[in-house]
Amino acid sequence: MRGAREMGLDSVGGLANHMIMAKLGPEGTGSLACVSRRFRDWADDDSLWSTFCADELHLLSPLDPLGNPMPTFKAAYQVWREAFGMYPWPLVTRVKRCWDRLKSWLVANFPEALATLRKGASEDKINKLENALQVNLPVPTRVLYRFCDGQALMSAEFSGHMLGNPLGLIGGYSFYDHEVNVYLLPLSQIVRETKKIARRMGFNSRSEYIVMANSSTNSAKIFILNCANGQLYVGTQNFARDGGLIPCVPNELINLRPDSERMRQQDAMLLWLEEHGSRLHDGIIKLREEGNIRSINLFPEQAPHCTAAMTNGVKVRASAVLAPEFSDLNDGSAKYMFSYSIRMSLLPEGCIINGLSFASCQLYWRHLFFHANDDLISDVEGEAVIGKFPLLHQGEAEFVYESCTPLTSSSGSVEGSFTFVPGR
Amino acid sequence: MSEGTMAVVKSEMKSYIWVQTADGSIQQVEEEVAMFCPVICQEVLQAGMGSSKNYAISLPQRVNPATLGLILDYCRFHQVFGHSNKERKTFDEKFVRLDTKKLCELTSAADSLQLRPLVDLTSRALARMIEGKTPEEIRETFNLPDDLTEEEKLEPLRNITDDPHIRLLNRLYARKRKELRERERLKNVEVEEEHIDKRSVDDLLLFINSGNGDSKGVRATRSKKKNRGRKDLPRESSSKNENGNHKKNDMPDNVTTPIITSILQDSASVTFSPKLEFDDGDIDDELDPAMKEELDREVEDFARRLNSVWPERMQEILSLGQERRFVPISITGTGSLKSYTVSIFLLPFAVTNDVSGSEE
Repeated sequence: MRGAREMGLDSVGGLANHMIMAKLGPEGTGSLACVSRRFRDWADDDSLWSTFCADELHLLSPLDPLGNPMPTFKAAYQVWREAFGMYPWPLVTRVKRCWDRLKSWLVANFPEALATLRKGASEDKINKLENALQVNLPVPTRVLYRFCDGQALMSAEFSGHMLGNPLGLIGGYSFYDHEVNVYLLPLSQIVRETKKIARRMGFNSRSEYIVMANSSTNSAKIFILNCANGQLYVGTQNFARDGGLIPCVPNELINLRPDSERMRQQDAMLLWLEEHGSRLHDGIIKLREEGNIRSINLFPEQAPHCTAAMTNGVKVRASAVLAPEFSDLNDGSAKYMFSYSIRMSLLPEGCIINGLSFASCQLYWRHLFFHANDDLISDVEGEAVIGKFPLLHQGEAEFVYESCTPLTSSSGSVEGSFTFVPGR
Repeated sequence: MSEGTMAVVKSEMKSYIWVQTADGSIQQVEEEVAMFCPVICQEVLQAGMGSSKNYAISLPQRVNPATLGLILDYCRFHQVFGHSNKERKTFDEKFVRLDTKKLCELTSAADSLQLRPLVDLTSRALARMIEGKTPEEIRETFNLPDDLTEEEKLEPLRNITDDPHIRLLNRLYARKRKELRERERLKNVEVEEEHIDKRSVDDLLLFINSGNGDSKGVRATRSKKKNRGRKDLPRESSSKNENGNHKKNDMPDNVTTPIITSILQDSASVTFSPKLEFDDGDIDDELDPAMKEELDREVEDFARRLNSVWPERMQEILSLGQERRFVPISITGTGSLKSYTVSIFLLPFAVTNDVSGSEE
């Protein structure tokens, strides 16, 4: 064997041990721990595991996947690995990060919606869904549902009501009398809704489409996952009639192969939720409060997708959103329905004209040009906006109104001017 | 002349610190170089040591003269402010190109001298060497003793593998192991440490039959159906250990397999490859039928889900597996079972027999 005074890997000293194991990470440390008794004892150092738990799982205290406390970080880490052992670990940590981001935003901004997120589904439940619908969920979606089984909305309270339930995680928008608020379906509802749609639309039993998210309002906005190709689609206006769908995520980003070197394994649901979380965190989309009701609003609030202009103390901000549920790709002129939101406010200094300051002003006239790509398709002007003449007081909250316009192309713009009359 | 004066002046301007290594030899080190080491620095400043041969600082036992030389080289380079980060990096990379023995000694010495940057550098180098190796390979590389019981090797992190397929199968294994242990405990069988060849076949059959009941006929079909081996990628170290190292109690079963299978072959006329004697499938056959049903179901389900991905994977596994060899069980004079390394393929259930036949 070795001479007594020989110094080997097992006598490098405490600091070195810790550094080596920290650099090896949990897998390497696990291997090292199986080498001999000494290494096994070193690997028991819970400060090491606390670092691993923090790095990989963002766990600041030793908890198991259900939130129950564990005696040590090492035990916690092991429980997590065992609970998710059937999935590639990097995918698991990525999905956890995705949900953590969404939840942390909700904690800070929208706790009432956080309360609706159901705890993760078991492998059993997910398998039951697969059996019931005769599909194989893409692996990332399975992992997503292991962490959170959709939202529990008290549908009784709001069902049938035009306003629906404002707590949808995906949120929505409203214009005229059309209101949308999208929430994630729990597995049980996925089964129900998918079967309903399949019956109604005559999908055969081997269809790969399952319903993932719905609007809780009257207006039908439906999100459907194709389990075969991993893409998420949203139903267009003729969805009920012809199954019209628009993909939600760029196709080239979807990769269902677990062993691809080129790209990580990701399906549309994961990409979609990650993007949503980013937009919420970056403030691109925000919470909107109307009356006493708060909901996530999908009209962008920040440049570059939200523009602003100011003249003489009057500030106008504008942004737009595609309403796929009103778009009909088969319709020549109303192919893409866009809704736009205009916010008007008067700065605290008031309306300053020729050195005079006015404490308020009122909208009188609007003039808007609509372009599809670069072609002018509409030039409208007239008094009021959606029949209203908003009166702006200096320093007050914004007046917001939404309207919509159909475009022939998927990209376009609206520009124009609003005329105000200053007042006391 | 002037050169000589220059030399004298130079040596007078430099100050030296005296250090003594564990073997008793004393040497002087340039002060600025030595002070780079926190331990030496402390001794000089707080204890006032190192100013002369008689008051040489005793270095920690883990620092031998050769290693001290290396450490001083490191300190000498890094304590100069003029070097750019790139230069330091290049130096560091070259510096740690040592054999494992020297690297360990250097790490140990740096650790005892609390020279953190060097510990960090050497730890990183060691981590790179350890990364991806199985515990057995680590033992080989670093010449380490193997003093864990088979039981302990199964713990604690057997599920830390990257491959989801392997992982699910590991969980099945883990469950079977637990089952096995329960059964063993219930039976309360003490395995005699005898040479296997002294036992009669009848005794063994009796012993096994007493626990297995009707699972004998199941054994062959299960192994055949599973056609299991272990995909021996470096990272699956813990799972490898779990299945490669059996408890002492398992020994008779494993070693007697060839005898039993030949009997089975005759009676049940089942083609059972004798090369699978090291296969862990043997362990599973001690499960009761109910458990087997459930696991079979899980396995079928898993197979169904793997089907689309597996063909390409098979190529990978096979090409890796060609390099592996079996190491047979060795039994020492006292009858204790030495741990053995078994490289077995972990093959999926959707694969046909001819693939499994080629796994060796």
